[in-house]
Amino acid sequence: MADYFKNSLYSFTIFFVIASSLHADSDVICIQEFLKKTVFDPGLVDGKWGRDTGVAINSLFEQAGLNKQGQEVTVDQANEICTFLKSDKYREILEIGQFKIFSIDIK
Amino acid sequence: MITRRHFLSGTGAGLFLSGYPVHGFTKNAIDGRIIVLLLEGGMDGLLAVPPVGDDNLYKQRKDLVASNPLKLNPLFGIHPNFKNFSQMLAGDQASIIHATSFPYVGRSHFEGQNVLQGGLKTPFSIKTGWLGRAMDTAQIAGKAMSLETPLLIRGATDFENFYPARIKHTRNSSSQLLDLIQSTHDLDMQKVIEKLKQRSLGMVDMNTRNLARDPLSLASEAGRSMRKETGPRVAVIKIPQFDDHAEIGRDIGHHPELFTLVDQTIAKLKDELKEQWSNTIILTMTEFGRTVKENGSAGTDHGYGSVGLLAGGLIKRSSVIANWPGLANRELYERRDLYATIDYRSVCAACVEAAFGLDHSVISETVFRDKNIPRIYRHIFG
Repeated sequence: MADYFKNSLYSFTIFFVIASSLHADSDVICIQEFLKKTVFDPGLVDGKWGRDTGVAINSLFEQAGLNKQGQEVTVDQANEICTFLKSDKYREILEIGQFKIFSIDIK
Repeated sequence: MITRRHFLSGTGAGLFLSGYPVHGFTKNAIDGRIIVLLLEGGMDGLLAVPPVGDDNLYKQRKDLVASNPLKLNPLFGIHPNFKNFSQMLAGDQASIIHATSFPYVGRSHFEGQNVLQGGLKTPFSIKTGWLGRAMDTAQIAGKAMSLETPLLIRGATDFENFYPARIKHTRNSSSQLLDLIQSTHDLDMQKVIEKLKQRSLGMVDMNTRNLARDPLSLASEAGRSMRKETGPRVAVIKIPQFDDHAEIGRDIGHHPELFTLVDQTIAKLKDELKEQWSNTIILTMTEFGRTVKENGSAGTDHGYGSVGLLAGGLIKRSSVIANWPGLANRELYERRDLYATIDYRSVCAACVEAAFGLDHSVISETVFRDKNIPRIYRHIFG
């Protein structure tokens, strides 16, 4: 009986790992790996577009003036973003990502 | 033996002008001005620019935060004594770098001053200063017009280090003395000395009229000299006494008074520079910050990370730039100091890039001799 449960647990774990890895998106990993080189922390590099990754990439893009009309990027644009981060803009965006800018609100 | 106390009391406020353009020598096309305010002793960055949005600030030092700081944004405020500087922040002519330091963690005034002026990681490893080397690299000739040149502006080609003075027991004026020196040099050098001689005639007045040696008078003098087309490109103003450890003050007191002095010095420079303000960057430098927690005598002790204040027309957009490390005990350097997450040499490099037009790669390799210094130019001047 105990073995049955043990095997079930193994199966479930394996299923979970496979399911997770299937869900892991290589474009999201590409974005997260880029963010890890900046001060905009995406959290774990797990290929999942969670809250941390969303906040980090949008903060970086906002600082770089890349958010078009204040619109936030979403997981649907992951491929496009990854391609962009690998383009000749790579060094410039990486440089911008080294320091955080806090705007002054006393104007 | 020189003690720290003697060392600090022996160094009063001072002004050092450098980088006078010399015809035929000065080749650099960009005409920016750099003014360094040397805050000697270690400014308490958390008192000057408190991170009011960090919950741990009031837990760590409830009695050493101004009771009414001016809020700059959700995270940072500024001590109310920075009145003029705050107006510059509002007018996009100033910025703040927080949690920053030169790469020095030793907490010694001697070593700290040497690192921030020398610009290398190891104290006493070089006999020139980063600003002097930057002037060398930008081919800005006409070096310090002072008797004792601070390390900061000493360069390898420091060929005219001069201070108008009379020699004891002689009635010869300094210009006669220069005549004598001139006659012993070749033609190129004679031209340089001729320039010096003309300038010394103008400066004898400054030397003998017992110019007040307080930072505000020195700022006036610096501004008036630097606004001229042929004026010096670089000034260093020493503001001492940031060495208080007890009763440093919250709203009033020694540290807040010094904030007012720094604030008024910056405002005075702006007034006197007139049109040249748009071509100028002023930056403060201090050897280290203070402990996050207050000590037993309502003060703070030598620490690590502090704050840098920047002002000048070369700035286009005001901001606070910080990779905020946090103030919880586990987030502090050695569980006592604010972590410095920005190498202040990056800030110095950006100021050199903006004022002298040198490439960052050239500045990092030639001036700071460290090609890994991150570029922060876009964040400050972009």
